[in-house]
Amino acid sequence: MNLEALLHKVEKPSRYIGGEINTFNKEITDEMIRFCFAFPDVYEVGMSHLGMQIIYNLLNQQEDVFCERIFAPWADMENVMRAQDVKLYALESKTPVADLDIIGFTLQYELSYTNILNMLNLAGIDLYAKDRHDKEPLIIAGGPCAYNPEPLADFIDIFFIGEGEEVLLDFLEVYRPYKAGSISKHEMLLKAANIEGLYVPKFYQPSYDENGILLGYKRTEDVPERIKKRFVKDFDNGFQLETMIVPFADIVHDRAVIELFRGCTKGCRFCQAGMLYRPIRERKPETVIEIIDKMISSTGFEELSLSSLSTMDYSAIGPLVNDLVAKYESDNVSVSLPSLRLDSFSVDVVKEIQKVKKTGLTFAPEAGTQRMRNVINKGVTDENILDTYNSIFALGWHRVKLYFMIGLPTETFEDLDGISDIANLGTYTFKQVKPDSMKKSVQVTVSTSCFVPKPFTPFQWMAQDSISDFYKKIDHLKTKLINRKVVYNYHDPSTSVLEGVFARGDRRLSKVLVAAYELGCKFDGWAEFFKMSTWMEAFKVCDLDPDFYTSRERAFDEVLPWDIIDAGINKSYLENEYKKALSAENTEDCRLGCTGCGLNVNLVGGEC
Amino acid sequence: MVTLRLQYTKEKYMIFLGHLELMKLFERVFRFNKLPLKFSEGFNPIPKMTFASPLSVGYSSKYEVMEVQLKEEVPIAFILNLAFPEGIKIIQAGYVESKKSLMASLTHSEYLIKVEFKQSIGQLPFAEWIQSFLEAGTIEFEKKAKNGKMRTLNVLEYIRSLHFVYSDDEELILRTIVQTGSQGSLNPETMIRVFMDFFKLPQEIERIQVEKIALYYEENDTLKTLFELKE
Repeated sequence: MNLEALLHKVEKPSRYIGGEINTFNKEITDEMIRFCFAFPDVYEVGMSHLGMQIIYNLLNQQEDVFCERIFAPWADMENVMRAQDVKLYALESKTPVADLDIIGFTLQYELSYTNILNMLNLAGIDLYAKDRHDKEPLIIAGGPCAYNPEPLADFIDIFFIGEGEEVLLDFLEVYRPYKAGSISKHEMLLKAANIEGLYVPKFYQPSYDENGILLGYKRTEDVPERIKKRFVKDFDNGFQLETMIVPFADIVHDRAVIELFRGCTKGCRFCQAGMLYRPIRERKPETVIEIIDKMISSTGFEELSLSSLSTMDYSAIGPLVNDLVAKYESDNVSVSLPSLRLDSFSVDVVKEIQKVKKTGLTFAPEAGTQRMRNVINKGVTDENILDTYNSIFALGWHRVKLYFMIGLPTETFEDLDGISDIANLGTYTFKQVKPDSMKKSVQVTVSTSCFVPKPFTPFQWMAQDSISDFYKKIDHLKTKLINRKVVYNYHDPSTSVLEGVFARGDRRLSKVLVAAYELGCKFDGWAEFFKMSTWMEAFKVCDLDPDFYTSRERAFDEVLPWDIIDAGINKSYLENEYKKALSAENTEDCRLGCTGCGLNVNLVGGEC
Repeated sequence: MVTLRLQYTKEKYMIFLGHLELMKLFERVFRFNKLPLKFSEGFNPIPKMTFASPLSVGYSSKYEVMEVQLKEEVPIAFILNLAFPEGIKIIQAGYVESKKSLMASLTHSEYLIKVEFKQSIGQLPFAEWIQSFLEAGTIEFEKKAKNGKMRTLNVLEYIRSLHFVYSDDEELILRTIVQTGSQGSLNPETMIRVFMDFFKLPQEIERIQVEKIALYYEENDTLKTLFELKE
């Protein structure tokens, strides 16, 4: 293949060449396990994903494993590849991926599922797992969307549930004898299915009643009844990412990333990550500083991000930020925080970071009224919001971005009005407290996303708003957010509804995915590609109703497609939280006292 | 403060890096090798680096020149050993006193140009064609000016030299020195198209591969390679 000739014809060719700083290129032997980490979106998105960096380095530290990468080629590249019959190739060695041993997809977003099919097709690999012979690569998948693996169950050989660092290495133990030819693919899959955290869907056959409601799964082999999630118990001493691939292209998050902790104790009821990544596990500040030092001196990044689900809740965040700013200021390495809590403490911390340049600040009140925030258990009060405005505007910021969700349970139009009240409070407070020297005018940006109920959250049973419900709410907000200093952005409801279908979907959806793919759907997360009408056609062809998955409220005793996965959280806890939500009752942060989710009893051992 | 000047290559897959990507790469390699970079003042401090001439994406080069300002000298041997991704290699490095800017001093670029044709071109007398092309006096071509208007220019005023290197049934290789820099530049691909049009060659071009082999500045009517630029 003449790859170079191809690359002359496409935009941003540096996305397709590999060879970035800190990439691997190993000598290929017969014993070498050829692994390919696959991100089903473009390079710029995939390379911003921390999990890819972790798994790439973890696997390449294994002597007999060579881990390479693939991303979804943009449409221009796909067209020239198809025209010249060039198959999807791994970036490091340029080997066609069909010649590798294992392809591991990360499932970060439901709307990237058609890209998985397209990438398999571009590689010349059969879509359905049952059609693939022993010589074809094993297709595995993990990531947050793997907690409801069913819509992809017909395509994926093994799902990895939970954090991958340890279970990937366990899996290699059963893969090696298969690679060496001493066990069959079936034997290997059966051994894998008995590793905690691995789900081999072909051993579990679902059945449905006449209304399409799942009755349960029948096991066809001796495999566990439920698949327990895996997580790194000792996060401070577990695998540590000490270097990162430094991309050529200008990617979405182009910086060093250090995880301060995993898990979150806030208990926000809409947040799937908050439920999935329990328990909370912090790294010691000494460990963090040591890792950052190694990372900065091996990558040359000019920015480092302190990452977690809620960075301001890190026990030592204040001193850590002060230490890092002092240490790296003279080298012009800046420190960034992914999200800020709405309180004056957060403002004090960010003040340290943005000493000179006051870029915009972003906060997520999530909902417009106190009642609505109680429903979702977002512990932000009206006073918190006012205090935050007072301090940021007095300190000289003039731009603030606010994230809200619409379509939350029990939401009324008064709750939506609360969103515009918060925005107007911002512009008003700015005028009251801004420094005399401030010449710029205030700008408040309000962004609303459409709420998608997710598995393993207290809202997993509820009906999602329909597309027209969402538009009514958006139109209402447009009439309310008329302040000239307020900018309103909103997310397309139809993509959120489709996301809702696959988030809580079952195995029958696999044929809808194939139908939509064959009708031309790909890059569904990208507005320039997304076509709801094509998707509706695919549902029709397959005789399935998307409303069954979205706007139908489920009974508490209904078998849910993801009940086969054990995320460690009791269903009774989720049910109780849902009931508390409906009566707008708060549940406190579980650092302050156990709230009874069951995680420690179920997975860690012992009590909370 | 000192100015470090580098001559480096941009070859193999690195030809696909855009100029901004290349600048970022240099910054990061300098950073993780802990070079004492001098930064600009202001809200967004950036390292003080200048590149003689941005290379088009897809062109390879044996002769790129850049300068970076450092707070103090670092041994040249260390600089020569800086590891870049395959395709970028530092050929020469040195500290310079020059106050002249690379960009303003640059006057000419030398290229090897390989033209691949879609159809067979047989045996054409390219060496003679080049002679008559260069002696034609005026050969006009249109060039888009910065304000977007088209201007008509004489291509020969931009060509310092043009030599035949090789040809066979499907390809032609030429070597040329053309004007580059603040006084106006001639794109090597444009030159090839003007050349082909002049001889009304019916064959279509499949692609043009360009390799830069030198950058020059003019001093007393003679060309000197840019790395040697002195006060």
